Amino acid sequence: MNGAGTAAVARRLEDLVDSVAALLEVECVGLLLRDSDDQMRTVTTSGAAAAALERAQAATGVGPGPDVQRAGIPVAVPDVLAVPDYAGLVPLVRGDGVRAVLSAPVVADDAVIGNLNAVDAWPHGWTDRQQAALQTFAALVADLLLLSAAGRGQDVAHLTDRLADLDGAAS
Amino acid sequence: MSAIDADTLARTLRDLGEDPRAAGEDLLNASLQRVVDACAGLFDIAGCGLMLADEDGGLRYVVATDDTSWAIEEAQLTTGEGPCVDSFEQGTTTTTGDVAADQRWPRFGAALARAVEARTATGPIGGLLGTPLRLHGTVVGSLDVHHSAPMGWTGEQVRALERFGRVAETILAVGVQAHQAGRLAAQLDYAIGHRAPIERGVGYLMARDGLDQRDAFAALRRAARSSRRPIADVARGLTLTGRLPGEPS
Repeated sequence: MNGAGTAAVARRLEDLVDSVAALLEVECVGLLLRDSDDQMRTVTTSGAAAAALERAQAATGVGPGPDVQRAGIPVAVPDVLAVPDYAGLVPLVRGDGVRAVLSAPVVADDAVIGNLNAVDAWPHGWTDRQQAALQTFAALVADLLLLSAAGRGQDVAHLTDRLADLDGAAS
Repeated sequence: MSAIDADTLARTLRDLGEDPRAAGEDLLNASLQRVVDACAGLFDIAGCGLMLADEDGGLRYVVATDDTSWAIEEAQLTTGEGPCVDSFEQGTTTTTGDVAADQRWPRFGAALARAVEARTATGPIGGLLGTPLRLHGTVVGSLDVHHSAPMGWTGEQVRALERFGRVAETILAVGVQAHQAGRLAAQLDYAIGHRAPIERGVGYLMARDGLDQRDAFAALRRAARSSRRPIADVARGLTLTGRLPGEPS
């Protein structure tokens, strides 16, 4: 895929996460995907809090996102700062407005290829409807990636390489 | 934008017309089904459907969450009127709090009543909302939701459903970009290429003959059918020559 094609896919993903944040009425939403080296990469975020969480999770390997990667099921956290297992995250996200986090797996071809994370700046529980909705949106993210990759004869991991490079260049 | 082979397009539309529910073999169709399922899950509604433009400048239904949504779409396509048809033709969200009592679409209301009586619509129908779906600024379809009881639409509900329409637009845009999704992508590609001249033709007739938007569109479609030409070609001819087929020079 050329740069313009990758940028177009990136814009679609931005549109989608912006819509997800608005529809779930959360502060922001971020998307992490596994690249061709099997590393988790931030692909897009709709706000600074989600970006901070994604950076911290990528750096420490702990958090709701990595848990979702391992378990393959959604993880709802009322307050990440109060979870002992996530203690490594605290110094990296304190002050960034990261408290309640809902994370859902992005699944393509029966494999977990990433996670979609909704972030709020205050602690609260997550309703069943919010959890089901985020899971559905994560499935739509997978559809979007599969459509984009297949249309260009690529696999999703290599598309992720380019999307993450683009996001890194933009930030 | 890719060129569309006429035979492929005709086959696409014929297949969709024969059995729209069987057209879910490609990823775009499955994704659109997921979009309407998500809409029904996310909002407090009874059902949801999605219609897209065809080569006649009209609508065809593509996916729906339930039999009642299919029946609502069928009734609008059969009668050529209803909130979702209006949203498509006028490019704005259209609502009704109680379709049975709404005088704007008498034939649609009657067709819905028949569908309920015949049990093709399996649930009661109250409020309806249609919001236009755009690609590259052109209206190419409509997202349609219904309530099972009469209700008043709040501004917040309308804005949220319009926002959800953006999700559907995103998936549609990716499907067209990918050129991998087969028949629906071809249909959408065609619609994007042809809606703009149709809209210009409608605007021309509104100015020339003092018609409202709906009547101008109907006149354009009648002219296309009677001359057996695609509506987009007729619209282009109208804006070039100032005349519809058969009108004296």
